[in-house]
Amino acid sequence: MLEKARFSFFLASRYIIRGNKGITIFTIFVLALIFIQLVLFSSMLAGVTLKFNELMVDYQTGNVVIEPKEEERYIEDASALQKKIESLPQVVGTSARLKTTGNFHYKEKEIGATVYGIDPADEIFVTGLEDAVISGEFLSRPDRGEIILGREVSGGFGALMESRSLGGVEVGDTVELTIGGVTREFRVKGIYTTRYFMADASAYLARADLEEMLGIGGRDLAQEIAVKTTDGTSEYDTRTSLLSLGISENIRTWHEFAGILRLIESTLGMVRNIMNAVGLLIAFVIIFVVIYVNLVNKKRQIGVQKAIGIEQNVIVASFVLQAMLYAGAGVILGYAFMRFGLVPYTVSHPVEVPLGAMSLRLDNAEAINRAVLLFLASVVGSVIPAYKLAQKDLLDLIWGK
Amino acid sequence: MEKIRTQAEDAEKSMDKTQKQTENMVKSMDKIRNLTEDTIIEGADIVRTFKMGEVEVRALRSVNVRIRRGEFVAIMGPSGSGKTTLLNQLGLLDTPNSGKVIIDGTDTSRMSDREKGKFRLHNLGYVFQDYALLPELNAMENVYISLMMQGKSKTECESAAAEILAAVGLGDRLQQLPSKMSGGQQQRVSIARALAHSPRVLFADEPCANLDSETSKEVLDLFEKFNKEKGQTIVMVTHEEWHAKYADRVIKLKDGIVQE
Ligand SMILES: Nc1ncnc2c1ncn2[C@@H]1O[C@H](COP(=O)(O)OP(=O)(O)OP(=O)(O)O)[C@@H](O)[C@H]1O
Ligand SMILES: [Mg+2]
Repeated sequence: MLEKARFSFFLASRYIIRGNKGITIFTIFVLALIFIQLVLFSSMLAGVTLKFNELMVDYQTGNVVIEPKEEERYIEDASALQKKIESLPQVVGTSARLKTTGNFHYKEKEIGATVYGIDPADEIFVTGLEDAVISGEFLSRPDRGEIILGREVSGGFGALMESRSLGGVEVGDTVELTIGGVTREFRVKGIYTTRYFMADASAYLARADLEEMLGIGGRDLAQEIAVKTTDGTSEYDTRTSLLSLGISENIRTWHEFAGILRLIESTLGMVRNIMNAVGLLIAFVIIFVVIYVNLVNKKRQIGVQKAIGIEQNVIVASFVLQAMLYAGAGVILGYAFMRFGLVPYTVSHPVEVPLGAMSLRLDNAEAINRAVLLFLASVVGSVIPAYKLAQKDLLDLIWGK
Repeated sequence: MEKIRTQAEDAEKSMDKTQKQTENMVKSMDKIRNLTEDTIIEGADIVRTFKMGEVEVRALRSVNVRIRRGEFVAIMGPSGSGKTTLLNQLGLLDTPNSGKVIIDGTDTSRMSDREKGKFRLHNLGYVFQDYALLPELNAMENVYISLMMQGKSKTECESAAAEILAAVGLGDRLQQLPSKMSGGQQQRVSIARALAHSPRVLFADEPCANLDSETSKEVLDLFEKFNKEKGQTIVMVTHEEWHAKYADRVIKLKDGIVQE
């Protein structure tokens, strides 16, 4: 068995080394391109997902979110709970928020948006909103009657849905906010963008202001407490620690908020799978054609090999190995290009997309998976023509029938 | 007169002597022949017909041949007489419609294609008219493929190939590719390939058809050398009378029948 494999490998290596160099280079090059195509979309998707997740953690959820107990609207004694949570060593900060929807009026325009009531001094330890302010300033503790708008609310600053916004509110302008029938005026103190569309469609004001509007002033209620942990802490460990503190509220990690993302991911995943299937089909056809052309030129040789007494499956294997060597070289070349070329390049020179600066992310497990698929395509693409020819009668092969 | 008579009597005596001597020689030769006259290939009632659409071509019509060990046999006959077809039956490259080919006591008519392949790999060697070397392999690699397929180690393969290539006069071209060699050199590589695994029989179908007469002579001299020195059994198809002179015996074919 091993001897036969050795013999097949011997033939395959000679076909490659001493065969047509142009065809070898062309085939390996094309297979490398196909491999790149197979992993590129996944890498983009992984890059986008990573970016999305980062944005969500950085600007919205933190790592873990505490929500009210089942069938309750509010978390009670929020500040006491915050203290308790902050006693954990891995916790960087917590932010107790009120969260509701409200209607904004500005000149003729009116839109609905999510409104957060926050304690600015707490919020800055949890999210990067302060740094996301692109005009004006972030809230500070004594600020009352002031509001921070996301660019999708204010309009301008490159908002993605300009027409749905208030159409160009600027810092210093006054907007009307109506929540549950209560209307108040707020001065716009700052405008922010995270580039994350969903996070930019919100507004932030002092928790005390929102308490008043909701009629729950001074009761230390919150609708969510976002918890930020040190880098590298697993969310599941944090959850366990929180549970062991005896917290009976709902504890959710940011992953559970990534629902819409997962929807996008699975949609794009389908596109990716279709593209992969097309890529593999092309790989199969390329291998098939290359091996087939090679075989047609070798008909007589194959007949002679059979005459000498070389086994048919050894002959077939020599061509399959040849195709696998092509595929292997293509995979290595394509992988090297991605790993040491394109991916590092996009890391140091991120691509500007609406989401922000995005870089590719090559997952080795995905790469191995694509490599295996490419190998399979090359095996099938070579076995079929090689087997069809090698099983012919040797005299027919020798006489070119 | 008397003198003449005694002279005549003397002459008669010496003639008797020579006669006896020749008789003895013939006897001892017969003895030698009996010793060496073991059959290596026996073809019995070989019939091979080809169907070409509606038409049946009867390439061989009940051919009986017997080839002795160490014999150098030439197969001759007009074009289309069935020479190649007969060689292919004897060399197990083809299967007769009926009849038997027995090689060294082994009846091959019941063998599967696989078994025949294995038998060829270990016991038979072939030289083709157009050399049929594998273009991607150099001289040495071409020569040792059957040994390698048999599972011999690389060093065994290489030393055997080098030895046989030296024997055919190509000891200095071990690494050369077929495309860089003349027809005569290629044919010598192909002879080396056919003999590398010490086959019981060497088959050659018009090995010199593509060569000029000088190169043909070199190739035939090689055949003769292996036949005489190593006792190599050779079955060769040829068109040329002078090629056949190298052989111990000629089998003449005409219209698929052996001519006695
Ligand atoms: N595979 C085949 N299919 C059909 N007919 C064949 C086949 N092989 C041989 N024949 C026919 O059988 C007959 C004998 O052919 P063969 O090749 O044995 O002749 P040959 O004596 O070797 O001739 P040449 O001297 O031209 O090589 C011819 O009539 C040939 O056309
Ligand atoms: Mg012929």
